[in-house]
Amino acid sequence: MNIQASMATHYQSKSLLLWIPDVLRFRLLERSLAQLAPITRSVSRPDVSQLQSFSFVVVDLAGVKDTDFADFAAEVLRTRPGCRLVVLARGKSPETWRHLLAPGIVSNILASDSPIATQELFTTMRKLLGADIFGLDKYFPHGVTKLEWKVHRTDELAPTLAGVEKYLQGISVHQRLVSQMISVADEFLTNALYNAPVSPDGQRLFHKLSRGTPVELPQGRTIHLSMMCDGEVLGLSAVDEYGSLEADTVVSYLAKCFARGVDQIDQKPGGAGLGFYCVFEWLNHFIINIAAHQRTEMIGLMNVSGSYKTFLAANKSFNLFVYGS
Amino acid sequence: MTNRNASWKIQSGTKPLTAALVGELSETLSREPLLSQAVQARAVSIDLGEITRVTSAGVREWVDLLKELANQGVEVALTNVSVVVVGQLNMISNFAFGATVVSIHAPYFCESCGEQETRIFVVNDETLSKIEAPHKCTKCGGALEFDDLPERFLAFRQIANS
Repeated sequence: MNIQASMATHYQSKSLLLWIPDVLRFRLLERSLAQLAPITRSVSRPDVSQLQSFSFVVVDLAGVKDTDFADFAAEVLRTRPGCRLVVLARGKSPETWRHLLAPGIVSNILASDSPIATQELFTTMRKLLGADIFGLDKYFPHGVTKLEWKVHRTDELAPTLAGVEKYLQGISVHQRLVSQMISVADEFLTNALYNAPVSPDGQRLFHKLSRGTPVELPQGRTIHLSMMCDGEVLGLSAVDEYGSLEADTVVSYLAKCFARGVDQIDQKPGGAGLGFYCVFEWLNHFIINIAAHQRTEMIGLMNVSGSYKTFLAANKSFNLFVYGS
Repeated sequence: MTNRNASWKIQSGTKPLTAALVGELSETLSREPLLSQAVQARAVSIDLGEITRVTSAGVREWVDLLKELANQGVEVALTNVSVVVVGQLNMISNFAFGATVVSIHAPYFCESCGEQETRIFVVNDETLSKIEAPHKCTKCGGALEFDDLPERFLAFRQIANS
């Protein structure tokens, strides 16, 4: 698999190649990213043989033809599976996202209809280059309070979600965004309860059960839910202690749901296969951190600074970070 | 509000059968209180105005219910569809599964006092212009702004027709 396999050659090189045709956009990102790693710029489509010295290529799709990017991504996938693409995209339509997720090599997509989200790209690249991927705190200023809950069983879901709701109403978040964030928390916790747990030999314990069937995590295992808000951005994190989620699973479910075909809803036993997609739609930023066989963290960030329209106008991104294999 | 069980309120003896689904649409959705009566009536009007949340597992239960009704030849109309459910109609291609969306709640936000309201509109060719028309805040009298992107919010009409 592309993303997992890429992590086997984890960060052999910390040099970045920026395929950014526009000089002003390049300078903006250079000022930011040069603090993290040496940067090389490519104005036109990079020669794949040139990629030997790079682990990451940042592609700004503004000014890059769709066909050029698709060909490049396919060639990188075939010849340099250790190299990962971070994409800056314009437009937030389902078609855009389906197109970007299809090649299977793009794990980090930052989309905006406004100027580049420099700070977000900086955080993303810092996580990728430093291999320090976990923690909701990375997305908030120092000093912001973190609320925490622990979940072990199905019957703890409702009181936990009630606690989240009470907190959000207490800080006067827009009611529609409250509902969406509770839904995100519900999907995160349900996934951590039913899909994440595996036996010592790697067999999934509960994934085929109906989500109405009560389950309890094996002794000693806990799901950690946390929430932070700096007034403008609201963040939620759920961490399981298994790290059993596979990057391929996430990307294929998202791509399938964006296609909106007859197979959008799974008919297999267990979940409906819509959770990641719904979560993505309900958030501005969806981040998944996976340390294989250790833990998985799902993070959701949402702009709660004003009306629902303000939320819709804010940047959108999907980031998948995988550590270990 | 975090009760995970949506419940049915059914008005027996009407044609079409009139029903309302209230609460959170989740994996616990029960089909039977509705199914047998709807099959007898051959048509059902379901009020979705009080659906507060929909989980991904609830989506499948809901679509399976509509499939079952369609298989039994029952005509389904959805009325007063809540903002949350309109979101699902726009995200999930067959969320309505052949049912007719008759009317919807549209969201509004008052920039003056922060009040959030919804208004009900019949779904037809004029819905777009009507939801964009000026409305007044019931709390402060200020201008209410439609709190979504109109074409995006009404995209389900194209999905249903495609």
